[in-house]
Amino acid sequence: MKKRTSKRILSALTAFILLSALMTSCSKDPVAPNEEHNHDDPAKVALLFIKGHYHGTQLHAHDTATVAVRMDGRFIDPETNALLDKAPVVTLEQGSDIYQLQIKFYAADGDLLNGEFLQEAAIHQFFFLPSVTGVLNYVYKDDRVGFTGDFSVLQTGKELSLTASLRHGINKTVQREWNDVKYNTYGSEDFKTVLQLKTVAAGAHDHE
Amino acid sequence: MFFATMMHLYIFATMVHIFDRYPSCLIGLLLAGLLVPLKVAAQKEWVPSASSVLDTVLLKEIRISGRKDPRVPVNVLSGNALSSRSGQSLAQVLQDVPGVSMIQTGTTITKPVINGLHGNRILILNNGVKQEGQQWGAEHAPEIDPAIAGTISVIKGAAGVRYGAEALGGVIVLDVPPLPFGKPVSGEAGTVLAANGGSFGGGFTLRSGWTSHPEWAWRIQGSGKKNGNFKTADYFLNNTGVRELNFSGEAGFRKGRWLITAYGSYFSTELGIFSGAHIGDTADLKARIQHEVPFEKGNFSYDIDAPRQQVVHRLYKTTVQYQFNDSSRLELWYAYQEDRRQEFDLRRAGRSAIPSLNLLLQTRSAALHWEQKRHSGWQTAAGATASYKANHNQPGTGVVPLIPNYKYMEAGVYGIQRMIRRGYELEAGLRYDHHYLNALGTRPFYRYVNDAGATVPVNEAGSYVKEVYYYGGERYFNNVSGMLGLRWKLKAAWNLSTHIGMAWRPPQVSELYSYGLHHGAASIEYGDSTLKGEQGYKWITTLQKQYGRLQLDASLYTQYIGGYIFLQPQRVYEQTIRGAFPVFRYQQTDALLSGLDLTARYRLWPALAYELRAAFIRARDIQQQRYLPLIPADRISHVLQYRFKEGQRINTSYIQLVSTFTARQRRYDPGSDFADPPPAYHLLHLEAGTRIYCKHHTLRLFATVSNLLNTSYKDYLDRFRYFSHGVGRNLQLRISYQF
Repeated sequence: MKKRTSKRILSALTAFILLSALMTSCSKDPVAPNEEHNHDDPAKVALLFIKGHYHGTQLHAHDTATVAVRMDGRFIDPETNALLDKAPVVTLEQGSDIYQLQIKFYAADGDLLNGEFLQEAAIHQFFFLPSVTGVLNYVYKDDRVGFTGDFSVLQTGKELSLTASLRHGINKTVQREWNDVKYNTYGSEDFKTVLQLKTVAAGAHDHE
Repeated sequence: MFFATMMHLYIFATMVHIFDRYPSCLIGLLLAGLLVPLKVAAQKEWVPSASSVLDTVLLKEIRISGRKDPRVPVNVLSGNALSSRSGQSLAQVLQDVPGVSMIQTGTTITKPVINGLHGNRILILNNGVKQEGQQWGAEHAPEIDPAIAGTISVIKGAAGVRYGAEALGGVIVLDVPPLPFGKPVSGEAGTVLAANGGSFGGGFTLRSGWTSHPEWAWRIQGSGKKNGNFKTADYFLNNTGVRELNFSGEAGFRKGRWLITAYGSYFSTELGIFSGAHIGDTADLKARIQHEVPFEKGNFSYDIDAPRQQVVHRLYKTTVQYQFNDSSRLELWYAYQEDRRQEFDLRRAGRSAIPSLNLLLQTRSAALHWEQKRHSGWQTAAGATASYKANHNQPGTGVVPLIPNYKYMEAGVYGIQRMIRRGYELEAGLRYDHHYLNALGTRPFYRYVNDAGATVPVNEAGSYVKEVYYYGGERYFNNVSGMLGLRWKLKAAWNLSTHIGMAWRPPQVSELYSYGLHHGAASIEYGDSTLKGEQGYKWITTLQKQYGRLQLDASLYTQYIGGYIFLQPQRVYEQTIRGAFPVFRYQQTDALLSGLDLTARYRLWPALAYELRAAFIRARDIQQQRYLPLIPADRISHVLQYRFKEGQRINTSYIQLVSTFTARQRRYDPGSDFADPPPAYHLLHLEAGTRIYCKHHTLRLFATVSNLLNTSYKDYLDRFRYFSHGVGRNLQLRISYQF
């Protein structure tokens, strides 16, 4: 009887040792990680102020001033990617021209991401908050998303900042103005930057 | 600390003497305690107060101390205590145990907190197997259904010797009911309905022996629930629905001295995360905190959208037990666990349907445990444990993983010796653990290069390129734990026990390797790959009176944790393309936690009983002389219970009113959190229950109204308190039929 018991215990212990051996024989190396790309994160945003006027619905552009922001929120030279100390000042002239603001989101590999936002236009909207009211006016040109829209100058001789904030998860059945001061209570933020602007009187513009 | 503890021992001894001779003193003290929340309630007109979803359990069912380990305080929940909580999460079920609270991420994610510690500082045992999930995240609830358990025990001591690493704050043990060998078919079916959230669910248990083969027995169990958006006192919380479906089963063979069992459990949940908590940058967060309530009021819906979580946890275990002649027993088990966690965020271009986090954790573990109980009063237990874990980020998320892939192996041996004498019991134990971690992760880094490919300073012209960086490596951890316990039988019903235990835990991969933006927390977090393990020493002294008109359980504890790992605010913001986020770094310090857990029950008349539950905790970072964050505020509950006369068919009928007062957490360093702790709040809950017998059938009924006054409140331990309030009034009905 005693012998049988010992035999059983021995079997149990053998099973345990086998299990332990099975476990320790497993690899110590983790599975090689898969290289994931952050599809959601733009690496660079370019804001183009295109000066011009309309012929019908066609914009006749003259000059373009571009402000570029990189993924850590800092301003860079749009041509050389060199880091800038501060936000470049964009000068806007009052007159018969408007400034079409086109905003372009680029991935790290240079792909344009705007389509991803416009595909979900129903929940995305850009807001633009000037630090001084009554100086600028803005009209959405793309179903209230704000990737394309026109600024016009109402007052000259002003230096102001312009907060540009792209929000998602917005209920757009409610009409919200481009400069709604409660913008940061709608949905959540995709992108934010603060631009520096200066408005000046109209200069001579030779139209060919 | 030593002086303070000796003083408390002296106070305990004096309390025993006074209350034993003059029980009316206790009544006076308890009534005085009752006045505290009443006073606060009177002040409530100008202090926004709050409530919780707590309901209550039948008092007698929370047994104090006992069979798990007599020297360490153990609270055991079974029977009505569990039935009256069916359909709730593990953390919610444990809310009436003094010293246990819960940390929440909104209404849908709850994690138990024992004496101020949670997550990887407490252990959860699923039928004896350490639950292995992704417990490193505050927004990761334990992947377990409390309905699998016949009893749930909460061990508050540092039980590192018996259970190994991570048992710093305590252990939650879910024991399945014993198999019904030789018994006929029996079972239970029940349903749970709740008004708030339109919740409905149910569960069943079926078990049987085999009369022609008495050596065989089996049991199956299942539960499920569905709820929609919860409502606070004033508004709905959008996207707070939950769906859950769980099963477990066990079969056993018992012959002679052998018992062989096979057990399996399956847990699956899909839960929404309150959409109002989805924020961009810190400016968003501040705006929401100032507004106090969500900007967009919700409505009721069962729909669950992103952000949401889907979690499936499977456990399979087989056990072999052998009973020797000399009262000793040998147990060997092997278990396999699989935990799959998928988290879905609001993403563009249809990617909300692709998980942003997709983790598969597989764990194989085995244990050998031997114990002997001799008639001479000597008891010995010894054993060995081992486990092998593999964590794998599933490819295709399109998001850089938060934690790396890793392999983790651990092995431990332990021995515990007890000596039981007529007037006292002594216990000592020792354990050695060896752990091994091998992690490998990848993340992209960006830099500027010139035309030749060389890195250029950020202020010079260059092309912007992405590079892949690998991180991780091997780490080894070794630890020796010990414990010493004494139980002293003071008088017939009075016991005084004291227990000193060591426990430890190695750093988690998230603490070692976090890097970058944590969207859910709106913060940038950096890990530290050089972090060492935490080493905890907990001294807990408990005074108990287990029967009689007065029942008492008072535990005083002090815990020192060397190398306590926490997220230290760096008081700087990092600008990203999404806005500015505060920076946090994982750091280590030394922490000291002390507190008192009290449960006192007094039978005023044969049918009327009063119970006082209180929990106080003080926690400091003793290196920096600061308060530790997210420590539960002081809480006092009063319960008045009336038990109806026992009948032949209808019995165990009761009605009880519970008043719970949660103080404002004032032990807090200003500026260390996004918002100051919320004000104190006072809640009332009403519960009634009965049991109806008919031959061999039993019907159990419970009706509960939690947050009876529909109080609007915020709890300090709710991580979504920045955005919203807690759940409002909730009427719940539970019916179960046993046969």
